[in-house]
Amino acid sequence: MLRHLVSTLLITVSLAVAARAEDPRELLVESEARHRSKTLSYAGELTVHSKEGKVRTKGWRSYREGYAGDAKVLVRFLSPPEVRGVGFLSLSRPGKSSDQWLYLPSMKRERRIGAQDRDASFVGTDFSYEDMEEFDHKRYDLRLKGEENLDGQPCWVIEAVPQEEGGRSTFARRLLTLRKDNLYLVRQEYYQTGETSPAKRLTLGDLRETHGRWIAHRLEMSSLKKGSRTVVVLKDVVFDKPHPSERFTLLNLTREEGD
Amino acid sequence: MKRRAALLTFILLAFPALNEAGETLLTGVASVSGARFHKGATEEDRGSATAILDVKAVKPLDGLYLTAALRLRDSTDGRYSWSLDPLDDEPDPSAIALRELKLRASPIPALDLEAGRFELGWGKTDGYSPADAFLPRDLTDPFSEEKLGLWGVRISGQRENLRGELVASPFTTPWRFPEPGSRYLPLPFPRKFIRETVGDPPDGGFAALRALVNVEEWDLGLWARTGVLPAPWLEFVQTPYGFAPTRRFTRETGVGVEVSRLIGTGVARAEAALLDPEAYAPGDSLIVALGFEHPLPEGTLLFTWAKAFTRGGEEDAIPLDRALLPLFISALHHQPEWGSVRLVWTAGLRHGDGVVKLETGYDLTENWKHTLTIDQPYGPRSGPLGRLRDAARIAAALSYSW
Repeated sequence: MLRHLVSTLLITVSLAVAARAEDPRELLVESEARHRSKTLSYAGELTVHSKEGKVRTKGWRSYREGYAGDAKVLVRFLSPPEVRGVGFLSLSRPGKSSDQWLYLPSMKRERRIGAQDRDASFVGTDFSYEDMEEFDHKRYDLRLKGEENLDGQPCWVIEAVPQEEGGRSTFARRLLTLRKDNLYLVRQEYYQTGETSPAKRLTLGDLRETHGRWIAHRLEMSSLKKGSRTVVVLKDVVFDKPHPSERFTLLNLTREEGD
Repeated sequence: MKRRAALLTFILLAFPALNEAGETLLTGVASVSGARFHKGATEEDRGSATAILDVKAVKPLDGLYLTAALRLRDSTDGRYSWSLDPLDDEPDPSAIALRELKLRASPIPALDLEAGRFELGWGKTDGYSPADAFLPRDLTDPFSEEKLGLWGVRISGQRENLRGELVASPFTTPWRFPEPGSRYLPLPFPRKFIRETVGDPPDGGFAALRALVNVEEWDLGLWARTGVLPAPWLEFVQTPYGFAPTRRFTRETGVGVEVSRLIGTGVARAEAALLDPEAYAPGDSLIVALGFEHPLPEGTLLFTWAKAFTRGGEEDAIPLDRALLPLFISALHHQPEWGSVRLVWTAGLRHGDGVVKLETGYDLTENWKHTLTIDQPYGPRSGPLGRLRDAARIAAALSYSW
């Protein structure tokens, strides 16, 4: 009888331990709650390293309001001189592709751009237009793949597969690596259909706590097949400061002197 | 020469002085280029060299923005005159061109007021836009169309997804054209017998109103304008010495619509304009333009078709803002990591003539760029583009930007 009781207790404890395995959706929801800000603005310096070793640098200011399906993004290029004043405006629409426009100072007018070509390179970098949008986990099926130690930090690894087949995402699946201590996304790997090794890898480093929030001040997107990589360094990061009401408008997009 | 040196010295000191104030943002491009022309029937040199310096200063002033942009240029072909032309209404382009000098204020976030000299860009279709065609241009180099600024005021506002724009200019900035009889405007009689007459535009300028709205995949616009049309029409008046080209100007009223819509991975664009000139000679016109843009992995492919349907008018009168119509333009823009490639084919559909332009830019560094351009007209000389065959050229340029 005692043996039976011990067995029952062992089984019960095992089941309880199994039940405590993390739910990937809950992890991402918690991550969003901790790190999602209502607004964000920063100055970015972007460096593209080509496979041949050529280096190009661009400077921009970025403003965001909202998140994922209701996000508004305005990017204004500051350098090099030939792109200075170029503006990019993206307004998300729930369940649909974002509305995007580009303002070109040489033409003195804005032009609508096709948001559907989301795998196109964003201004010659390793980031695509899809990468410029916020990751919306609600549009993905999630599975906890396991755990990993990354740069000495214990992490969760979550697999995300787009819910729409042949839909809005240009990748068949992603692997998201979240630090266990602060649930910050520190790596994202992008896989194309049928591939076992990633086509692109985004690593987020130089984590700092700014105004009570953690944010990576260094992002590196590597195109593993092309052999190039793009590094973005963030400066002057400001969270949750309300944007002027007209910031994310076409009128403001055409103000090449300043927002 | 002394006046040139004094002007240059003043200007080159003034812009750095603006920068010394601390907040002024100073940017610019300096370029030198050389062109070699096809050996044709004209007596002009087969080569020319040009130097251009563009400088722009933007200074924030307590919620206002002051913008000044100046262009200095000279060429061995003697195209530029060293005279000050602040209204930009002389037939020959000045070596010193004030491109912008404007003050912008936003009394409320959704409203902009601009006054001074500025450039405008209206319309949706690429290469040719009837909404944009009423704005002043310099076509002294027909292969490098240059937009001119205009003096006036502009009020722009936005409420929700509706935008409005009102522009008024008290002066007319006429379009510029090449010297008649030159390789850029060949005529079927000897140059020495050509005596061009340029009529004065009517007094006053123009006013224009534009309303834009974006609804999901659609961008829609309506515009109306009235005033002096800066593009003249050309008449050939017989004289004892031959035919003398005469540029005449008229007032015109126009209304138009502009539309763009996302379709698949691309963007379709369309415009239509009804134009009613005061003078009889150019005729009333309906101008239609259709365009499509298809994205490519590192660039875009653009198509535009435009045609004018004219009623009345005189057959010998050539309205120069629509002289090339009907036309078809296709343009390929490719931006690999080393620079840019642009291939543009402009086909005149009436005469079967056209121009093929190939431009490649190589980024030597972030600031230095090397550009090679080939302009090759083709087709019968009876067409407006085919007659430029003697102006076929290859040009190389080196530029530095900061």
